[in-house]
Amino acid sequence: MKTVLLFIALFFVITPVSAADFPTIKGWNPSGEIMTFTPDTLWEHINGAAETFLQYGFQELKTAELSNDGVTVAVGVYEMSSPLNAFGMYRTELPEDAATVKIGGQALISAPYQALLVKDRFYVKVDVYEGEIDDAGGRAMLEAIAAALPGDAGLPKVFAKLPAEGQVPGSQRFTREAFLGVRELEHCISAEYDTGAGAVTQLFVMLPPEGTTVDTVWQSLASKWKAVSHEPKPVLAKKVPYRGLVGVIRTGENIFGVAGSENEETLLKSLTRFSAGS
Amino acid sequence: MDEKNRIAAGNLSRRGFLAVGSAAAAATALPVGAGEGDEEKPRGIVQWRRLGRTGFRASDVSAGAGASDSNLVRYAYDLGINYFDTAESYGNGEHERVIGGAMEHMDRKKIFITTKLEIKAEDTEQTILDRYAKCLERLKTSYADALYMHAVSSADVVTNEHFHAAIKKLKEDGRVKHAGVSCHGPRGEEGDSMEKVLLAAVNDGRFDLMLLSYNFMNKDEAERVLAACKKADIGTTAMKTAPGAVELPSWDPKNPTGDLLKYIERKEKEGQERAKSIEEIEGWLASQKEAYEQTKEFRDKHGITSVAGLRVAAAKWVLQNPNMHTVCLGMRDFEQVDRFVALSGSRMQVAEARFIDDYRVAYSSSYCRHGCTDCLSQCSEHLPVSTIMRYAYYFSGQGREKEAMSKYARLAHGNGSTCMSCNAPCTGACPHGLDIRANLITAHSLLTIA
Repeated sequence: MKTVLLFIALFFVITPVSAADFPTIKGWNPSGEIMTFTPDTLWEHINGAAETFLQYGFQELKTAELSNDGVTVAVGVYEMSSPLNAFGMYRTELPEDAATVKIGGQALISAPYQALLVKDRFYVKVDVYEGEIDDAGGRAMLEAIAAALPGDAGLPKVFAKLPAEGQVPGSQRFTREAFLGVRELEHCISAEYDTGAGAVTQLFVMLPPEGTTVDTVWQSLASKWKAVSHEPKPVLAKKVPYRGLVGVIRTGENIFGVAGSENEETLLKSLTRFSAGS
Repeated sequence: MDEKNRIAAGNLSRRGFLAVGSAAAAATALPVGAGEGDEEKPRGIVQWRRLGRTGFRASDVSAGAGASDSNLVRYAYDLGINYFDTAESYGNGEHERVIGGAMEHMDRKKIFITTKLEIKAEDTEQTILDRYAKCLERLKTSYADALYMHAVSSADVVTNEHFHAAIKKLKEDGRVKHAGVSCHGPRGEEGDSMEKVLLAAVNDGRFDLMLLSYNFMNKDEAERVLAACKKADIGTTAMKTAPGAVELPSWDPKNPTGDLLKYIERKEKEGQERAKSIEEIEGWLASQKEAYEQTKEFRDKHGITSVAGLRVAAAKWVLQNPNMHTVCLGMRDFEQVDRFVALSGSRMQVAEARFIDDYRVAYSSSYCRHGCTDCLSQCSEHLPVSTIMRYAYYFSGQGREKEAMSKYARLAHGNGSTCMSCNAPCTGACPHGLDIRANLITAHSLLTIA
């Protein structure tokens, strides 16, 4: 596969390239060949971790080692099947308490050993092999990579379905399978909400997977979960170990959900408030 | 059952009774149960096996990568699972964090935590110590029961002195109890076989534990390793227990959908012609179908219609071997935890086990492993043996006669016709016992209607 090396005028500034190319950063020299991995060969590179990438629609990985002034990093550019999948994969690998920064869609600089970035359908991992990177160096590198990758720099637009009010910054997730460990909860976007006095609740929206509709998703849930209410809108619930009640409400073309209610009464209140505010 | 196993079974039964009691109590104590209609309490672990010279009695079913929620780990623990396997690379440390999130709910002294580091050429004792310290931080524990070399693909790596120096230091500091090694074969066409790597590790003598690929399709190789481990009293854990495909993706080259369509579109953007992408997809699908056909008889016999069903039956098969101490399964949701825990202590019927064994024996000596190159150096004509055998499989196993013959005719570097006058230096070169020359002559006859 073709690889285009870019020549840049300024340190850490690179020319945008097409998806087929690997970002080349001024000042950082490749110390080996660029490797490409496909869904069939990803395990050769990351072994047991490959399964989760495949689950999130992994398409292709290009990886290369770059060196600069005694520091060697491995840069892996994972191309996923959609921006939402890229964000989901990135978020899966992000520590819970990570302080993210606004580079590309979102980024994390864990100096001195690692930096992560998501932009559009690309998830980028920078691992330091030799030497160390500091915050400024990590930021400059991620900004250069983000500038080189095509696509939108924001979070996937579908997160607008979640109410903004009370949302804990940086708590958004996309979970392809078994959200909360519950098999039926697939393709969920979620975020945490501050409900006062330090209490946090988790709200989510189920997105119909490709080839399905909100109707089929709802019917599938209805066949397994308890119907708690029918009017004015249908509500289903399930008890989940250690979490309390998890419930979902159907409103038009959306399925909203709330996790962690103590009983059906509080669940109905939370769901009604959530769906009305969205 | 021999006397030793009877005694072990007696001990385990009592432990099993206690575990079920504990699990039921834990379930009763939950703020809420496992869902509506959860009147039936999930069954707990009922069998433990001694993990070699570590002396730890591990649940026969253990938890590997897969859990994305700490409550799944807690739930598995409450059902009696006491062995948790993870690695630095699983989700960039996320799986370690998931286990760490459940740590406050588990009795640390009663569980066995293993984590793994892939040893890179540039690693030093210090980088290994630093990386391992991060593992412990994520796991929220002051020590791991074992630190494994992860996914070793070359026998010389097992003697890496930086790793062993780090282990020595960690043991002295009480931050690790045992060293282990994991392997499931070469990466791509490079590296050594799983057997070579793990036997080298056994001979090295510094590893107390091994994590290896073990399933009904690699029985012989894995069981040679298990025999060596038994002799050296090394603890063993099975992974990759369910080979093969159960469902094939739907594919219509005139109307592609889903990820396959996205692949075509992406390649078009990169300048690749649609026809080329379709050809690539069909090649991939052919390999998928091959795997699907390989396990058909096993699936039919056990009524397996889903990946989940295959995993359960295959894990049950692994548990028949007392030399494998625990089977490590990824548990993604509560239902899966219930299903896998229920396998604890399970026994296959004699007829079932015999069938699988017969099937494996019959299949093993006629199946040329896809991608295997072990015999190539012995062929004076440098014939692409596994490729020719795959074409023969397309012909006879998949009914793709014309395609198979066409592919065979296009082989650039000779074909099986040369075998007829060859003195067969390849004899004995196949580690799986194939008669290479006879198979290639047969394949040539088949693929040319000679």
